[in-house]
Amino acid sequence: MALSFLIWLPLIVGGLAWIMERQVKGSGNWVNLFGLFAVLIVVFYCWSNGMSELSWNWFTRFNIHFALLLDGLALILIVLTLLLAMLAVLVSWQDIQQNAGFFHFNLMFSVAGIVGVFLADDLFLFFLFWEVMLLPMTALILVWGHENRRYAAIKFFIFTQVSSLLMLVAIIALAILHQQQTGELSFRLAELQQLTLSPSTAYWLMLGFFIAFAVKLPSVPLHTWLPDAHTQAPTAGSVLLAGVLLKTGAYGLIRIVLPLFPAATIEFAPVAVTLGAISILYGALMAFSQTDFKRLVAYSSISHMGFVLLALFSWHELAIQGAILTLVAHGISSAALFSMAGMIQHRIHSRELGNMGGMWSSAPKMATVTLVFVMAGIGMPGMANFNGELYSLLGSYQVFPVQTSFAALGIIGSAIYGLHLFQNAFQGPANAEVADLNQRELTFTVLLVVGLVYFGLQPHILLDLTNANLMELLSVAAKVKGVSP
Amino acid sequence: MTLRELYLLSPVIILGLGTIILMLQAAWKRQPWLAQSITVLTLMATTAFLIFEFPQSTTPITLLFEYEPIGSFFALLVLMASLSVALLQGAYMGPNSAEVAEEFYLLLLLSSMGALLLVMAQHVAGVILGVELMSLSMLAMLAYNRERKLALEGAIKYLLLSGTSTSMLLFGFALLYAASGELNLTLMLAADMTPMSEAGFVLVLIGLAFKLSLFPLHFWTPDVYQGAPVNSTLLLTSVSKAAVFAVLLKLLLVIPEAFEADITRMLSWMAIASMLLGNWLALRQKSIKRLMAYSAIAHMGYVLVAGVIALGIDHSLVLEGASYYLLAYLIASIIIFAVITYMSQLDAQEDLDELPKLQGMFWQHPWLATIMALAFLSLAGMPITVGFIGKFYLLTLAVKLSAWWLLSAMLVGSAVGLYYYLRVVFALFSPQQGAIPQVAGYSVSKVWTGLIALSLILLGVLPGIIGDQLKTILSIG
Repeated sequence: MALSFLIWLPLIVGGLAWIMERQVKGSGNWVNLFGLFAVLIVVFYCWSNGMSELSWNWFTRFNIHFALLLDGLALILIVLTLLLAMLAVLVSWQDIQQNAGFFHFNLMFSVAGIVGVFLADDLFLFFLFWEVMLLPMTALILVWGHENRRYAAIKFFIFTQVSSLLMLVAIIALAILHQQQTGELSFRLAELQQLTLSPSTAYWLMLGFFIAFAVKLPSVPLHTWLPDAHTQAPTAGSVLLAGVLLKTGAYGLIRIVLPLFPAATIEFAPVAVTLGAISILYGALMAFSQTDFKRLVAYSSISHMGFVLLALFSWHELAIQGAILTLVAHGISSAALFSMAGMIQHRIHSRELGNMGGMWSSAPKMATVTLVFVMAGIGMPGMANFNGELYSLLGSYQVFPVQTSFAALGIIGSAIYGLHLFQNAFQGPANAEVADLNQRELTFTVLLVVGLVYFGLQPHILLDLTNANLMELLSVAAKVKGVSP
Repeated sequence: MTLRELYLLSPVIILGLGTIILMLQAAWKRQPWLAQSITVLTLMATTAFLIFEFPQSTTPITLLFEYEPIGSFFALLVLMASLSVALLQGAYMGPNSAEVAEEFYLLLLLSSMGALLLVMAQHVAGVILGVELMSLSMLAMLAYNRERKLALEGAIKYLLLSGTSTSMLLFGFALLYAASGELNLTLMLAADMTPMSEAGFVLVLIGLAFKLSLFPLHFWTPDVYQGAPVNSTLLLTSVSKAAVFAVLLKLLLVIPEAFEADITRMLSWMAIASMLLGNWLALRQKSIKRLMAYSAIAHMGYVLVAGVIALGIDHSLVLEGASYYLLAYLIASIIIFAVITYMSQLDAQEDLDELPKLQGMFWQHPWLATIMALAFLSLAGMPITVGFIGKFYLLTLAVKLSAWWLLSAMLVGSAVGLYYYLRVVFALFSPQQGAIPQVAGYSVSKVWTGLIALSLILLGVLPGIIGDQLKTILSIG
């Protein structure tokens, strides 16, 4: 019961913020902030007794349940979502002047959708949330985005929608296969795992899911929506997009694709891993050639998420741990960089690196925290990203040495574009005078730095929480490979 | 005719009584709001009867009609649409219209009666009677504003083509009769199929496909939709489609096995072509009415998928799927046309349906724009709207029978469809251009529109409300 509040509460808070904003200007921010805090408390309350589940009859004709499941992996990602949503609220505290109430509502609506994706235990429900979270996000881009927002919003929406149609067909096919084998339709993940699928069927169905998730992740060649969407979105939108929305793709891979089709994924792994390696290198290369702050960070996201794809499909314990660490680390660091971009744009009304330069002299605090975020993105030891990438590479190398060797070059690439970004924006002759971070900005950037360092030094917290998920995955894989884990 | 039969014929009788009262009223004292109230009350009484006396099994009413669950469900859909048209007309016409008001309601009742007869028909005469009564009264409504050139053009087009299609229908029935010697629909098709009767059946299908504007009989649709006053367009896109589809479904369910393969092939191609073409041609439309016309072609293609699969197996899911999809389609259409109606005037030379003129509507009329956006998202099949559940039914059907060609066409069609539906939604939310007028008052019709919009969300979020019951409602297996 309390579990379902994780979905209703953000919606209610969003509605409240909309109404409040109409009465008192600026109050929506506070409502959202406290609302998110309340949701966070509910999460911890639900988690206090360990894993919790919920299942209500929903659409009996098709044996569809409103089924939610909160386990370690879901917990981590939900907490990440809520914290980044708070960041999104804080970072756009004064940014949004027009229709602020509607903005607050959309923000909370998308939080509800994303939390739903992480919680759903029934594939129909999963699909529902998967689609629903698009709507407010598209609205955020369309209404409060930058100059080319319409194009970006349409592209974002159509890419994700069309790819998820394939997923819908795959979901239905799975349910019908379940009906053929047991006499009853089912959309429950746990029940669908019991299915015996012929290799070719499993392969096709796996592809249906994989394409949907690869678009979201995104992996080359399905990535083209991302630079546009991230660049055009308002800061809060970019933070949520890069920080959490991309993670839903990886989450889908971990939660659905790997356990449901272990054999097919192992067969498909060389392709996926190669795609991952290409994404890493291509993302890094493209990031280096950008002159737009946000676009650069957007391409770097493609590069970082390539590590996740590479790691997940190599089916190795270390690698999957690395993928999970990367999810959290990249969530924090990319969201941090996007909020820096937002703050700079708020001050100089431009995202062009050419219009920046030498900002260190006028804004030393801002420069320092940006430097920390860039270093985290590069993967400096001691920061969260380092653990994730190292684990991913270490694990994958044992299974796919060639692709991993190429992928490792991406780390050099990230150092180059990261320093390129920092140098152009903050060093050199002073092009732009900017105000330094104010109290509010300083607070949350410092918290982000603390987060990055904390998870850099204590990665085991995340690993302990997700250990159960990992063991389950490995046992599934072991069954297929016919060896003990 | 027994008393019981007479009793079960009540829906038609009530409508007939309403028509007569309306005629008398028009002769005695012209009063638009009175005419509207009589119409709404008549339609509501009919609906109430259908709901309280919802059939569990088939009861024949004379030779021509029958009272049975599937037809009655579609009759309810028809009545829902008619009721919307009746409620919207008051605001659309305004108090000082140049046109007379009573005749519109009269025609509306007559065409609803035609649709009801059509869904109840079990005999060729019943079908013809229903189709003609429905189409002819609709025809007059399509040209209700005689000052609009486009409306007249559309109506003439509809008259000629509809006449042709009805003659096809008649000729088809004649051939079937010649081959079997029967005029009852079921018995007619139960007889041995000869080439002559096969030709007859195809002609019948063509006649029906015209009304459903399926490819290749869709050419009239965009012009007629665009020309007609928006409220009449709503009637055309909802009532006639729902009623005719009910007949088509009934016919397909009793088609002889020997002839199934050929018909499946023919209908499959019609469905695929309609889905692709309809969606494709809608891409560049600026007028919402025109866009809805092409979208109707595509959506009828989707529902036809259910019809095609009806020839395969699993009748129960087919009927449920088709019913739910049509329900979803009607709900969305009613909302979209209702919103346009609220911003247009019958007396004006044209309705306010050009996309550029609707830009930024959300910032002026948030509620109207919200429900319109929801309706378009429902047509596009987004979750949490009823349209998604309809699509889910059809996809399940197609996957279940491994109809991969149909499935691919559905997916491609939906993908293309997404773009133009999204264009409209985006236009609604884009920065404001100019002031958009809105008709004030008429709270009853607004409450009704609100209820329909609520059902759009409710049936999407809790599909079980109707979805779990459909099987019992339609009394299948």
